[in-house]
Amino acid sequence: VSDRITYERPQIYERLVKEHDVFDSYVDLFVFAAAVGFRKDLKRPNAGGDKEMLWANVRYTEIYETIAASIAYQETGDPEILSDEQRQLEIMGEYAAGGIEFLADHFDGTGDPTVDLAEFILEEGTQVQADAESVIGDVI
Amino acid sequence: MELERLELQNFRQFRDSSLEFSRDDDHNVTIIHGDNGSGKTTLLNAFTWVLYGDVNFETGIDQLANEGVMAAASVGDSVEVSVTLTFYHEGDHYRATRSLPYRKEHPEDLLGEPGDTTTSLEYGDGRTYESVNNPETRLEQIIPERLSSLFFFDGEDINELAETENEDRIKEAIRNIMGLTVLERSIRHLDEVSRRFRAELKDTGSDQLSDLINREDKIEAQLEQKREQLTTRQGREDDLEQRIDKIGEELENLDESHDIEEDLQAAERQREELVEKRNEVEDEIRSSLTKDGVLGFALPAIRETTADLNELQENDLLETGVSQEFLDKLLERERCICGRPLDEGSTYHERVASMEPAVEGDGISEHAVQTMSRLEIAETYYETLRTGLDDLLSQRRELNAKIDDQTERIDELEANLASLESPELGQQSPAELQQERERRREELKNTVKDIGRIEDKIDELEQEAMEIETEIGSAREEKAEAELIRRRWKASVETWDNLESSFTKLQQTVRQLANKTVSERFDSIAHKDEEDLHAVITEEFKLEGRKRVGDQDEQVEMSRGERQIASLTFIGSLVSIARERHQENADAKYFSGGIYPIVMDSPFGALDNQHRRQISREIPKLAQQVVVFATDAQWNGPVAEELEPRAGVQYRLDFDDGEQAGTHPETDLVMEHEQVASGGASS
Repeated sequence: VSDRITYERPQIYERLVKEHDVFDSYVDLFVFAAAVGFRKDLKRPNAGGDKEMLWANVRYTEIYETIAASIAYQETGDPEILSDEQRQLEIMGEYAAGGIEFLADHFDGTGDPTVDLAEFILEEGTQVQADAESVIGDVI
Repeated sequence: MELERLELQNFRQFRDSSLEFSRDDDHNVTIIHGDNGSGKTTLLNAFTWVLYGDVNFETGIDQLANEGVMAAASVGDSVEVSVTLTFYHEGDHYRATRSLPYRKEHPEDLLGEPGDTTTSLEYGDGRTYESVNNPETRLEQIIPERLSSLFFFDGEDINELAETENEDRIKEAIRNIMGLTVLERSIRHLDEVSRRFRAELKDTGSDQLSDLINREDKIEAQLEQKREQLTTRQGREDDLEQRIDKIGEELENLDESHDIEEDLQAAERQREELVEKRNEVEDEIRSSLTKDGVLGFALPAIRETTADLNELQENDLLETGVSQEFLDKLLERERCICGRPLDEGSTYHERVASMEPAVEGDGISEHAVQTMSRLEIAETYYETLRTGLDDLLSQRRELNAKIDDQTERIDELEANLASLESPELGQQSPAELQQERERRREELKNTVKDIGRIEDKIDELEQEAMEIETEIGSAREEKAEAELIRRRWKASVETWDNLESSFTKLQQTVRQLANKTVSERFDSIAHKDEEDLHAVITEEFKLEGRKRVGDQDEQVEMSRGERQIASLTFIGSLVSIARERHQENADAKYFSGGIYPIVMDSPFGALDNQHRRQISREIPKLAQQVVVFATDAQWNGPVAEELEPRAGVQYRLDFDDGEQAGTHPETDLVMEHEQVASGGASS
């Protein structure tokens, strides 16, 4: 049996994935919500739920795989977690549960939320140049 | 079944003994006599052990091994206890063997630790034998265990059959001989089955199906109605669109409004194009968001992780894992490789302090390299996303401005139209046309909304109908199942009734047969001169003594001897019923009978000589083959006088009680007398 966790899939998943097609799949929104939850430090330990999220789906894109590894490493500071996919998925699940609550509060109105989400990413998301240069500067 | 030979190896006090059974019709009795405790009961147990694995010793199978052999064995050696019974059954010779090794555990161990029992059964023509695959099953078919108490019994307590309140044992014996216990079990089982069927019927017998069908009908009716509404609304939509087009044409054809209407239509087309473009831009925003939007929030984690991993790699810590020394160093300088302060008492200090140093790399290095290598890709994606989104959002803003402009222009042109009054009488003015168009458009908008709602409702109803359809499908299956259960239940009740009544009849038939035999034989042997004593098996299955008083039979108390005789004749009657049944080869459904020997231990009990003589006379008639164990005290006198002439083979048990130092209990079977050559032809 491949690695998996259970999670809640509230109405906002249907709204952003099925109704308005902002995200292609539940996995896309799950990872997005996890990143938002991590960034905003919204964690729901042992959230659980009646839906399953499979590691096989998360690792479907290299970027998602990297995101899961990075968030898990930042959470634990333990390099060994890089090879512990189940644990990575669990950490993602805890932040996704927190992140989706935030998204539901802010994007659950009527009408198409696409533009609002785009603006949210541009406004609250990371600045490219500033952060990137400082970190790459550190590394080099 | 006809017994041929019994061989005992290390079985209790029998070290190596064998016993031949008489198979002569005229000398059908085999006698084994000896002192009390010399091994008669052991021999009876040898039968039940070899056939069914049962022994009736107080110590169970714990003391089965011969003491003398056990004493002589070395520690760790096993003494094999075995019994072999050879018999003849329906044309074949059989050899049943049961053996059980006992391992000597210590020098004083006289019991040994029992190992695994092995059972084998071979059959053949007396010279060559073949193994039977399921010995236990075949033995059970030849001489069912339920009959063992009838054919291998302790004569000391056989008189109990004729004691009051023992009708259950009589009934049981009759049932056993007829195989009725098997039948009874079937009846009980059938009863359970029919009860189960009835319970199942209750579960499935609801009106669930008709409820479902009613619901489905209602939904179908609603669907029908909604579809009609849809068709009407769609027709209305077409009409309105046509009318709106027509108004446009009319406005174009009127001189006063021609130019304005042309401009208006152009403006509307342009607005439509702009809206179309805005939709495309929004689609692009969506598709760039869907996978890469996440980087807006995840990128910092990837950057920091990559930085940390880079440092670990530079310090050669990824291949070997983090060492304790490295962790200690970090704690000492109070700063992590990621730059975080590691102040004593802080969360990060605790985390680093509790980290386990890795012994080996665990493939972490590969994962780390992979993660680091993807930072660049992630940065590129994110940069593209931000630039793209900036661009798309500003495009969208521009389009919105243009759309607003067009809308304003359209409003203006429409206002112009609305102010043009008609030049000719009897014709709609452009103003009226424009007003109507606005009304129609409003109506069209509402109609389209209605259509959307109706379509949604239809989807919902169709979904519901599909679900009910599925439920109806399974309810139909359940109904069919319920029908089947109903039929089965009826059948089981009928079968149960039939079996029950034939069971009762058969039981009474056998009782009557047994009663007849018992009465005849009992009368012939126990008849006392002055008294007219009979033994009967009553309808209540009581084996009782009766005396003729006047016109009526009265129950009388029998003496122990009389009870012994009554009981023996009862068993004898069962054996002969089974034999007759077998020989008639009747087309019996439940009871096919069989030929069985009787093996009895001490049937003479505490009887007086007269009764002993009477019983001794009766014994040869009890079965085709009779084996009798008797104590010497019972044997000497009338029993020997009566039985010796009928005995084909006669053995004495030569017993050494092992009381003297260095000796152990030991019995030898000594053949005293043989009327007919053993191993003679079987009938």
